Amino acid sequence: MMESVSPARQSAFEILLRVAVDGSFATPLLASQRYRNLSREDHHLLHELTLGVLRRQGWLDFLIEYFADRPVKRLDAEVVIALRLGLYQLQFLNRVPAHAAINESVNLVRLARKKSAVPFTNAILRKAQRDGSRAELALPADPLARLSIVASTPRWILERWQQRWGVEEASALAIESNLAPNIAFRYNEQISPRTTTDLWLGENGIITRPSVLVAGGAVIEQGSLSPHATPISQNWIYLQEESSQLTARLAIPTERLADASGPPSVWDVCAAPGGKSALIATLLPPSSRQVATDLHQSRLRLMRDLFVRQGVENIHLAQVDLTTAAPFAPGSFDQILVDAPCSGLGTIQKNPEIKWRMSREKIDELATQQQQILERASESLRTGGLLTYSVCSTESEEGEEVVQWFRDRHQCYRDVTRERLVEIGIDPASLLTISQGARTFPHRHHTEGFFICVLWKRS
Amino acid sequence: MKLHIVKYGDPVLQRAGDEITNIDGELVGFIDNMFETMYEAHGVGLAAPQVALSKKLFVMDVSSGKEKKERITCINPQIVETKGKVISEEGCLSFPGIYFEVERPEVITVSALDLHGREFTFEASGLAARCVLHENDHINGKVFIEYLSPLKRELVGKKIRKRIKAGDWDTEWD
Repeated sequence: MMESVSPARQSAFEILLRVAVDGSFATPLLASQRYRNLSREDHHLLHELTLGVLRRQGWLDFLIEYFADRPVKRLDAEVVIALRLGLYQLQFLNRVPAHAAINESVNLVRLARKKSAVPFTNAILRKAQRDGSRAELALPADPLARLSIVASTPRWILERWQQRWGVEEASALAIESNLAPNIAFRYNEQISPRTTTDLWLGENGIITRPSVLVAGGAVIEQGSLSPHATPISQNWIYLQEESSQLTARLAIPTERLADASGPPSVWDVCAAPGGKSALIATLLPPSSRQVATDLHQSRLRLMRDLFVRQGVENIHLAQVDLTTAAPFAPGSFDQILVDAPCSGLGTIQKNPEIKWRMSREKIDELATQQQQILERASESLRTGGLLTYSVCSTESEEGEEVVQWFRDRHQCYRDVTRERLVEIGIDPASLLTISQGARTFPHRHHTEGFFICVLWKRS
Repeated sequence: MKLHIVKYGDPVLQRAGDEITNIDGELVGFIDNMFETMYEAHGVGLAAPQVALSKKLFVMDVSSGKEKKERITCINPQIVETKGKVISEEGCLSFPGIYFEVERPEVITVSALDLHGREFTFEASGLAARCVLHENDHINGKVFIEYLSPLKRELVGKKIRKRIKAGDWDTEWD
């Protein structure tokens, strides 16, 4: 006997509905307890379906509107999601037989108690199966409108990218943003020597390459690691974006610690989930004073758990709201890291829903908030200290412009990003400097799009 | 080893299976293959006739491999008691892509032999009961479209003939 929808498709439907209806993010849902019992194969399919549909949503909705001859907005959310799932499998997953893709989507609609939409769903998917390629003839002639559909990227985002870097870069970035991200990690050499870890990975068919952006980091090139695999469960490695590792290393001038008068004090301002602070803890001498703060109590708990797991418990945690007041006395810290809340437009490989949710207005709001956080946090930096600002956003309003605004108000800060890169052994030319700090892009660096700037407070 | 699942139209699905008289290593290996085949096909139950063995034997796992204790092998099963009625949708590995509602008893008591030839009895409800009944039908030569009204059965038959014509149904059987 069979249940009428396979567990992977049922789960993907459930997650996509939550993403659409209550604004959840897919990546944390995919990692939740609820789906942990799926077989490895089902879990893989679940990931591919959920993130694939979110990445290709623009193109899939264009197909729905073409074959249904009505706007997606006028259809029920359950029906739209079942259609997107079916179309995604028909168009992008060759290994799924067409009848399975169609029938299971039809059954999803039925199980969602939308019986009246069952024949409609069936008809749309059959048409798409028969003449899927005909839809391409209906693509608009205008290059940007066309790219917006084909690369599933909202037009307003493409327009900004095009104005800033030209049409070719914009198109390369949009296309690359639809690919699954590289999985990066850092070695936890205190727990397992690199050679032991590499040996395990090699024996288990996982091919890695050293990160070109950060020492002690690597990128998985082939194979996949389950969360239960020894290197992860035993904390030999920690899955962490290269950008996050690089930010932590740039913020802490370990090379200069020997000359300093005493052990340094470090404040990671928007620290959750804690990956950067955990890495910083491994770079600092044990007598250092390290503080990690965040706005949300629940996130502090997650961070505490991470620090315990990683064996870096010498970090003080506190809940802090920087929009109201600076929590520490002026000049309290030698290094302050502000990895500010941002649009996340540099992370759409990982969180594709962001491109459908973000807006110009939200970016402007975020920029105002980022200015405020940077301004307040900087009050606690001593003269001669380092202030590091980073965001995982492609947008200059949240990066270069925030730093420019800040430096216009505080002439004593100098941009030392390039010097710091050299100090930690990275060729500054491997990153891109536009006006301040440095940037990476998915299509150029095969990592998330982020902005980072290290500022030195002169006397 | 993955086994070939026969599709509707194969006469083996319409024959009542023979009682099993000898549980040997070969049969135990075959049962392992049945589980493997069932999981691969995303099924929750698989009867021996569906893999062309005309015997009274089926395997099931309503957790789809998530819980080891849900793995059940039934040899020469008997439905001892049934209670209540419930309608729910089901599908069958021998009818790919065909799903419809079937009315079946809600709670059942089953007795069967396990892999060691020992008799065991259990009560099942919900999906597990539905699955036992569905598989038990298979080993008695009955398939689930027989629960449909003649009109609906004709419609399903038409759909299947269309799929066969399109080469979208398994036609390897003699």
